[in-house]
This record gives sequence, C-alpha cells and structure tokens, in this order.
Amino acid sequence: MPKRQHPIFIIYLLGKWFKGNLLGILFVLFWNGSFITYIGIAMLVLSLLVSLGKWYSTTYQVENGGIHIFSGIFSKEKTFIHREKVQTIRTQTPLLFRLFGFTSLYIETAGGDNEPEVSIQGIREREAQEIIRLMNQVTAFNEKEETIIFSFSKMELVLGASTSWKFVVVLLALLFAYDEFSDVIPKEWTDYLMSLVNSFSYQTWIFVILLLLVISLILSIFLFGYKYVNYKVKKEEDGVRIFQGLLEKKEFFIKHHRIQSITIKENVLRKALGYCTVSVEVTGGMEEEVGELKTLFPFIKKSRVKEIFSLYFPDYDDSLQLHGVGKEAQGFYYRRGLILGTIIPAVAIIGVSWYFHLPLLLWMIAVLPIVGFFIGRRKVMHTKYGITDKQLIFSIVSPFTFQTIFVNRSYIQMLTYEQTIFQRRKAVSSIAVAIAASASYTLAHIDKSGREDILAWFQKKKVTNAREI
Amino acid sequence: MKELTNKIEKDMVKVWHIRSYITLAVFFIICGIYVFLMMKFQLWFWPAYVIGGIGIISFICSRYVTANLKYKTFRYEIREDEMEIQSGVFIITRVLIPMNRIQYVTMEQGPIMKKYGLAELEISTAAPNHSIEGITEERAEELRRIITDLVKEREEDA
Repeated sequence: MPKRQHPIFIIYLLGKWFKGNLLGILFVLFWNGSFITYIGIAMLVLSLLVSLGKWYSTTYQVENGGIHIFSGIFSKEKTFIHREKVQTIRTQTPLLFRLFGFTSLYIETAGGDNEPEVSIQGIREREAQEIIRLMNQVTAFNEKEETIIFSFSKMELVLGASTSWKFVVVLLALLFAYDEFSDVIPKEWTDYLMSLVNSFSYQTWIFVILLLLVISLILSIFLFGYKYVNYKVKKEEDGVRIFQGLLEKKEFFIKHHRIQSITIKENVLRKALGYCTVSVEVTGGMEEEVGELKTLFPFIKKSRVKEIFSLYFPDYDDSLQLHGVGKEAQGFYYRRGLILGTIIPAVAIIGVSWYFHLPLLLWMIAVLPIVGFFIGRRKVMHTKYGITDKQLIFSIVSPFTFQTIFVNRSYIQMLTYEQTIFQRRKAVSSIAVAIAASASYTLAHIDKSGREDILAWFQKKKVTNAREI
Repeated sequence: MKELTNKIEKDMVKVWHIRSYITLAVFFIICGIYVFLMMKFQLWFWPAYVIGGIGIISFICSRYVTANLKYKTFRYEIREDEMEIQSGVFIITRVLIPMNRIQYVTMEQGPIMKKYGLAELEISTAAPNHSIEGITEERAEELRRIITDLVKEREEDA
C-alpha cells in the first residue's frame, strides 16, 4: 500500500508560504482597499488548496529493493529509485516536525540536479530510519565501524566563539539595532541615555566599551553554541556524515570522492591557542547543502589534524616538509607588505589628518615602514609549497589568517601560471590550480625552480584514476 | 619559458579592430541616450563626460595598443597528454589542461569572424573554460577532431 506523508506536511507548507510571503501579507493587511484584501485571501486559500493537493497526490512505497514515488495532481508522475542508484540519503528536521517526532527524508541519485529526486516531508522518525535501513543496507551492516571523529566540548564552544571575529559583527549589529529602534524607545529614555553619554569621563567610556564587548562576546557564544552544540562528524564506510542543529536538525553525507580539496585555516587568535578550522571543497549535491558542508571541522586542535588525516583521509598528508618560494620571489612579497602596511595606511593617515586638522597624526607615518617590513617578512616566512606523490600543498598568509591547502592531482582541472612585466625580469611567476567546484588556489610569487617543480609534478605522464569526477 | 609552437591568424587583429569600433559606437549611443535624458530631466552633465571618456580611452587602448600585443602573445600547443594556451597583454598567462580533464570542445563563429573565415575553439572542463580565438575554420575543425580523439584515447587508457 502506498503511503501518504503525514498531514503535518500541510501545516509545514503553509508555514513556509507565510514565511516566504510575509511582506506581501503585511502589505495586504495594512492596505485599506477591500479589493486587494480579497486578492490576498484568495491567494491564501489557493496556497492552502495547493498544499492539500500536493499532500494528497504524493505517495510513496518501499518495495523491490527501491522506493516508488507517485506525485502530481493533474499529470501523474511515477519515480522508482533502486537502492544501488542512491547517492545520498539525508534527513532534515524543522522545529515543527521535531516537536511532534517527525522528520523529512531526502534521497539523491548521482544525476547531478540541484533538487533531490525524492523528498518525503512529514514522516515519523522511526519510519524514516526504517527506509534508510532498507535503502542503504551496506551502511547498516557496518554500523559498528562508524566512529565519531569530531564533536565539540563545552570549552571549545566558548573558545571557538570568542575567536571567530563574529563578536565584532554582533557588536556592530547591537549598535545598528540601537540606531534603528531609537525611534521606538520612549524619548525620555534616549534623552537620559544621551545626557549620560555626554557626561562620561574617559574611564567610564573604557568601561562602557568593555561592557559592550563582553555582552557581544556572550551573545556570539550563544550564537556559535546554537549552531554547533550538536555538531558531530561521523566516519562511515566511504565518506563522512555530518550532524548539525539544536532545534532544526540536519544531516549530511559526503562521499570521499566528492571532496576536491582540504583547507586548514588558522586566524591569528586561533593560531595562538593552537586551534584551526578545516574546510573542504565538494562537488555535486544541492547548492544549499554544499554551502553548509564547506566547514568540516569548525574548531579543532591543530595537533589532531594530522591524526585525522592519516586515519580518515589517507590521500592527504600533513607531515610534509614545505619549501620556501625562493630568493627572487621574496622581493615581491616584501613589496606587497610595503604596499599593504606602509603606503595604503600612509595615504589614509594623510587623508584623515588633513580632513580633521590633526597634524600630529602624521607622526604615525614614521612607524609604518616597520609595519610594512614585518608584513612582508611574515609573508615570506609563511608562503610555502610542497609536493608529494599525489598532492600539492600551498601555504599562504593573508593579514589575519594562515591557510594551508591540500589538493590531490587527480582533482586538478588545470594549472595556470602567469607573469607580469616585473615578474618576467626576475623569472618569477604566480601559479594557480583550478579544481571542479569552481575553486582555485593561487601562489602569488614563486621562483623559476619552484615553478618548474610544480609543473613537472603536474605533467607527470601517469595520472591515476583520471576519470574519477 | 620555451615558446609554444602555434600562433593564431593575423586577420584576428582586424576582427579585434572592428570589435573596438562597435564598442565605441555602443558607448556613443549610451552617451547619446544619457544626454537626451539629461536635457529632459535636468540631470548632471558630468556623467556624459565620464561615459564618453571611458568609451574613447578604451577604444584607443583596444584599437591601437592591445590588439597587436594580444596577437603577438597568443600561442597554443597541443601535445599527447595535455594542451597549453598562452594569452595576455601585459600579464602573460599560460594554462595547462590535461587531455583527460577536457569534457567537450565546441567551435564558435560570430558574423565578423565569419567574414575573415576565422573561428573560435572553446575547451570545456569542470573548471572555467578556455578558448583559442582566431584560427581558420578548417584548422578549428581539425583541432576539434584531434583533441576529441586524444581525449578518447586517454579515456580508453584509464
């Protein structure tokens, strides 16, 4: 017997419709002309009917080692997906479903459309698990082998939140919110606040700024915690499964061969604590899903990365000795440091001092060459590359983050190297590798010998498993 | 760096020249529309100068400077396992595409190129596409066949 999704699906669809058309609904409510109101009501009724129809016409049935989906109100559509054709099964549980013990089940095949082929929204949790088991017996057998390779401890949640720069955003959002709502707050209050602000001494100012920082830090810890408190990465037979969400639960699965590159990011604060972020580039799958997948380990001890690589991503190796970019290329990094750390700030300072008539500021320019030198020096020290049998490693640095990128040769689509007129004089060039998933990684300046190394590595005649993608 | 073997046809420079005239005309038309709107709605005058100025400068650059340089630098080479394309004006870029990454090759030809018997060959991979612009039609057809054969061979090897 084909089954129908639970009627809760109708409520869910209506809720989605409300969310999507909130502006329009508010507009209609506040519009006095009765004609428009009727249109609004008609649209509401129509969307209710559509939801009802969708719910009524969609049925599913698991049999013959696959799943049947019947759908369509006027033109009927039948789909059958065999177990072997299934690429990923994921569940997503909106809050409404979660409250009543329901979930949504999405099944995707290899055919790379953006929409999942099967979506059953509003299905009992237990039933969903049953379907997953039936459709995916291989994984079900190996359940014992599954291991959780990553989850957050409470301490890490706090540390991760406070080192994520997000609190600056939260602080700005707070100030913006005050600015937006200052009209709504009673005038006496804002006046009182203003008079208070005007009477502040230097010490109180510092205190207030610190207080704001602490508040936004706490808020950002809550935000980070909300996102990641249940975050788990589980190792499975041929990929990793990711669990996420406190109220709305999500589950993703990435097969190994969908991972095109791995990037280790360390911002300055996290590097000081010995932590980093590991993100991956994946191909295929739904757009929305791919966006979520980019950060695999949001906050992880740097020392654990090597172990995780060797156990779960054997193709990637973090223990390699990296090479510098070479003497001729170093000059270009120093030059870049000089532009970033000296020339741009100098222009800014001159502008500010001229505009606000603060000639004393100009003294700051005297320090800038040192800043420029150190930025350049840091670039020289940390920009490196490495080659192993299969993979290419780029280590690059931007003002606040250090990045190490691992790319497997069989995933590189093309290699680009270019020279400006200045670079040509010193035989220095910049090298970029492009992978599918439309990402590309660039090493800004590298010596002739380095370039030849990388080129020779890339051109090696035997490219293994060429058509993996 | 070793020079790559193949160059594109000299006639391509003429195509680029004609294109630069067309771009200039488009800029003048936009400028004209703006002047018309300006008279009607009392707008500022300076945007007309900006649009016209950008149009003229980009015309001079593309007509008298870059077209020739582009022709001089553009080179390509097709080998057993990979193909290499060199392009650029002031920054010279070389792209190395392994044969087994090429998904398909298409030939394109606009009306101006057709006048000179030229064509463009576009090479598609999973990453951004690259093209060889300004080879004769026959050459494009030949290259398309060669590349497709090489790609097929690589696939059979794998």
